[in-house]
Amino acid sequence: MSSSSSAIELAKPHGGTDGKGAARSLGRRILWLLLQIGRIAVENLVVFITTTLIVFALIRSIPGDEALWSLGPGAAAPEVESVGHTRRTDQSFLRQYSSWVYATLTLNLGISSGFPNAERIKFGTWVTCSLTLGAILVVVLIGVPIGLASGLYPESWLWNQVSFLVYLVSMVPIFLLAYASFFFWPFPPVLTDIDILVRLNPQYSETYLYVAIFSTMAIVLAVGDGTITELVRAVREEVGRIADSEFIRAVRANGGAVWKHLARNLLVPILTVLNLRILYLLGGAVVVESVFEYPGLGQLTVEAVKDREYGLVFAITVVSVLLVLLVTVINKFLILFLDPRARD
Amino acid sequence: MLATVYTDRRDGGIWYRLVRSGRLRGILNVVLGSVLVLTLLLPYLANMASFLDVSADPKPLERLQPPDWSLLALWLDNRPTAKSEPGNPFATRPRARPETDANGSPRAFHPLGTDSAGRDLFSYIILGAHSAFLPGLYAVFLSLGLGCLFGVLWGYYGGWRSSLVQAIIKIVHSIPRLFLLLVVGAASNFGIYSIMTALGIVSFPKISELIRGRILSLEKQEFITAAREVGMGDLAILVKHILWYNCRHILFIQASFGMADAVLTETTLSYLGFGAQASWGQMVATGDDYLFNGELWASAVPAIAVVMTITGFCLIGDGLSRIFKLKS
Repeated sequence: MSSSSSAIELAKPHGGTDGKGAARSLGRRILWLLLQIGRIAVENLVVFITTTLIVFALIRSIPGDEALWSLGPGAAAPEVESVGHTRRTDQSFLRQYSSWVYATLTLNLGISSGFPNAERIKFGTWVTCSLTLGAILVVVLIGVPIGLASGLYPESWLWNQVSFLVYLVSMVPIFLLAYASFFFWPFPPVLTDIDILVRLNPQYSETYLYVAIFSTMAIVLAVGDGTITELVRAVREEVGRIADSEFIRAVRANGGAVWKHLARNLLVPILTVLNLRILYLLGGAVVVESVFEYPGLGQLTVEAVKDREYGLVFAITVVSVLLVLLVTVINKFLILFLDPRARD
Repeated sequence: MLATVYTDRRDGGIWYRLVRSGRLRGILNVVLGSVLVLTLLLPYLANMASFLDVSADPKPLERLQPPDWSLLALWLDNRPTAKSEPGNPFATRPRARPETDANGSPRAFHPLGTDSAGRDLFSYIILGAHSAFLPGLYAVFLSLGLGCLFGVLWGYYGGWRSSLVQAIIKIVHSIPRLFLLLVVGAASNFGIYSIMTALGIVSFPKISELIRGRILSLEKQEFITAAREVGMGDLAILVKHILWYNCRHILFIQASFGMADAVLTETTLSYLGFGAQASWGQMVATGDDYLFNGELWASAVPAIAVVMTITGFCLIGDGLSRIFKLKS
């Protein structure tokens, strides 16, 4: 099929190895695909329901009446009742759970602190996703070269110490890394208020300022919490495994490009590591957004917990669980697509 | 049949072998890490607070005093006294800080300065260790216990137990950690032990994966079958042979890394405002309004304490893994 297969793959017989390669009809293949998709959907649905049930049970176990709290101590009883009915806090466990999930999925979340919650969640999701993608880019840009060098020169003192140093730096708390980044802050001591920054630095355009802040946040998020260390470890392992193998030696003997084969073999470990670390990245985004006052999902969660808006907390949890499950499924399919060994 | 000669496969002296295998580096790391950790935890552990004469009362008259060993304090204390000569640009500068209190008692000595409310930072750091140490230890033990239990279920027994563990791990892996900790904190009114319970639950999958890997690599050896033939019960085999004899080093290393992770998470949560009261993260958060004014110590001193503790535990774990030759 693809002309750039590796030597090992070309040596395998085409199709399946069970002797039924050419005999599977199109219909059976489509049925198998649908079964697989159904199986994945059911598994993820079960995980989603269990996780959100646990979070909902936690929220529901908080003592006190939420409606009374949000309205204040002097509220009249009919108001408390109506707010309770709107927020469904006066219903049974399962009813409240299902109505909250339905409200979240249909983005019917009401208003708090002057802004419609659905808008805040949508905007926050977009912001946090872009920040996480930027952090992933930084992780790959920094981690892959270090891992490559460590793997190609495993006895080298320099690269071992560099990876150890990266590991130590990554164990520093993220907010301290953010403070450290302020030492390289080229702007006056105004954190991230773009309007004020633009006024105080007329020589820079707004885009430049925004990109500078965003890249600082992405770097801080990438370095913190040990994502780069995991990536370096995985890349080093894979390079160490491959660099001495026969087909690389064959390519080198033919004078071909080794980097292409290395790169294609590195994609799978990188995707695996990113899949494992997405949770840590989202957790780190909470802290980074709090320090830089960046309006993402993390800061939204912090504010919601501070203001005791548990409906919003539940909605954010639902959104983040959906995100994580989506990323996991996409990751699994990408690995299936890229790595022929995984197609068993 | 020729007689076999027993040769000693030692290619060098003891120091050469220790350095070459990286075990000396491991021992150095463990020692250095222990020094860092004990520096902060020993006053708290040994209850040396009374010996060091610490008290963390806020004294608003002494707010934001720089550390008494810093250049700033030296400059404040040693500026030239007032000269009555007019036209002298260095004249009429009163001493910045009086030698005695209003009551006549000598001014307190703040080795690391005071924060924005006047609390002595040295004492406050020793007191702040309490919210990091015991809760972290609890989270570590919980994660080790759960990890052993589920790792053994996963690796030793197959079948439905292993699928159950895999399902549980998949559920734990589907929610971001800090979100869950925030929700648990909100649910428990930010009790530190509830948060550490949640942290232990979130951290056990890694340990169970490691234990399962170790069990799978041990299955090929016959001692398990032999022990079963002799009549040892399953529980005894698991605890004695598998966990204690073969997985002990993994558990110690994961305990050190888990402690580092617990201190890190507790500090982050208390920095955000959700967590224990007198904690290093809260001290950093209180001091960060003064960073850009140059009064760095209010935030830097607890920050250095946090970094020392976490780096210490990481060095211990890394050193142990070099000594036991696990992949670091």
